[in-house]
Amino acid sequence: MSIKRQRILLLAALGAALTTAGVLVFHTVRHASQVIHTVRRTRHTGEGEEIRPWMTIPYIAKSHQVAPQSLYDAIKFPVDRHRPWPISRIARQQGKTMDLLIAQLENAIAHDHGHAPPHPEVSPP
Amino acid sequence: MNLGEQLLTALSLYGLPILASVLFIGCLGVPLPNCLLLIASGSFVAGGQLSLWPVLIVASAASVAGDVTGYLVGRWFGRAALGRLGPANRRRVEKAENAVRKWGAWGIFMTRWLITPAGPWVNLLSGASGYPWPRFVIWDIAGEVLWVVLYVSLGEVVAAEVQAISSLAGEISWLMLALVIAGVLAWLVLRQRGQGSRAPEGSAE
Repeated sequence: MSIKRQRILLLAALGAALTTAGVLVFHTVRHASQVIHTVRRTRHTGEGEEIRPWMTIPYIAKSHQVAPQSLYDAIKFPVDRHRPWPISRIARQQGKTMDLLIAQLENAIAHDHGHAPPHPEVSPP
Repeated sequence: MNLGEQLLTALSLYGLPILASVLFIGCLGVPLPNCLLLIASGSFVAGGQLSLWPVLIVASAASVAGDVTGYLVGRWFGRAALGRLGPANRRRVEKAENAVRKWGAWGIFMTRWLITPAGPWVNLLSGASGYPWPRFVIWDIAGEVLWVVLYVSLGEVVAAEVQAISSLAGEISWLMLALVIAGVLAWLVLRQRGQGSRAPEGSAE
């Protein structure tokens, strides 16, 4: 391969790498500012992460700044301090849908924060 | 549930065996959310679901085991493949081997904790180029322990924002990789410009 051709290939690769790095810098900085904003807001308001099936009751309680016991009470599930289950396993064991269990937890969190429940149609546990 | 959420569910159910398996397979180059699991482990440590020292020891050991396996694969299969190359390519391979010997320690160390997407490739390359294994293991342990301690500590600090922080940490790793590649290419372009000014234009290599 001639030196001229090698140089053109190298410059093209450098251009592609710089473009990729530029896009990633832009994306990462924007994402970082969003994350910082979200973390500050959630810590200030107690409005935690969206409840997902992998989360355990202690994790949800910490994220939403409520007592774990109030969530366990809301879904009528005994406390297991050593190995808390993810809520997907709890829903399966209780024969509930994931949506119903999440709605019950969200209502309990809203009640704990003194807000109106987001799912008033969910029957009280 | 996506793969990351399924692994997080398994981690909260079964704990350390899942953490060790995912880290080991991830260090072999299979695209698994290793950072997410480490940060989540830190969060579970903060919540009392897992204990700190077992997490640090198991995660470090599994990562080092995965890296050493990658190194051995490169050493056995990579060297055999290199041995079949012709004399012209053999010269290039020797240049690459010299570069690995010169920069290998930093390359191994930095790709353990900062430029993690390149880690599995560096393992294979180190093995294939015959980088001395005791030095590989020393730098590997140093980098992996730093990576594990950093991410588990991060998980403990941001115990309630695992999803947001881990996606950001993954993006930062890819950004670092792109910057390193751009830096190496810029260095090659500059070096070639210097050589080009000394050699006649258009001459064959």
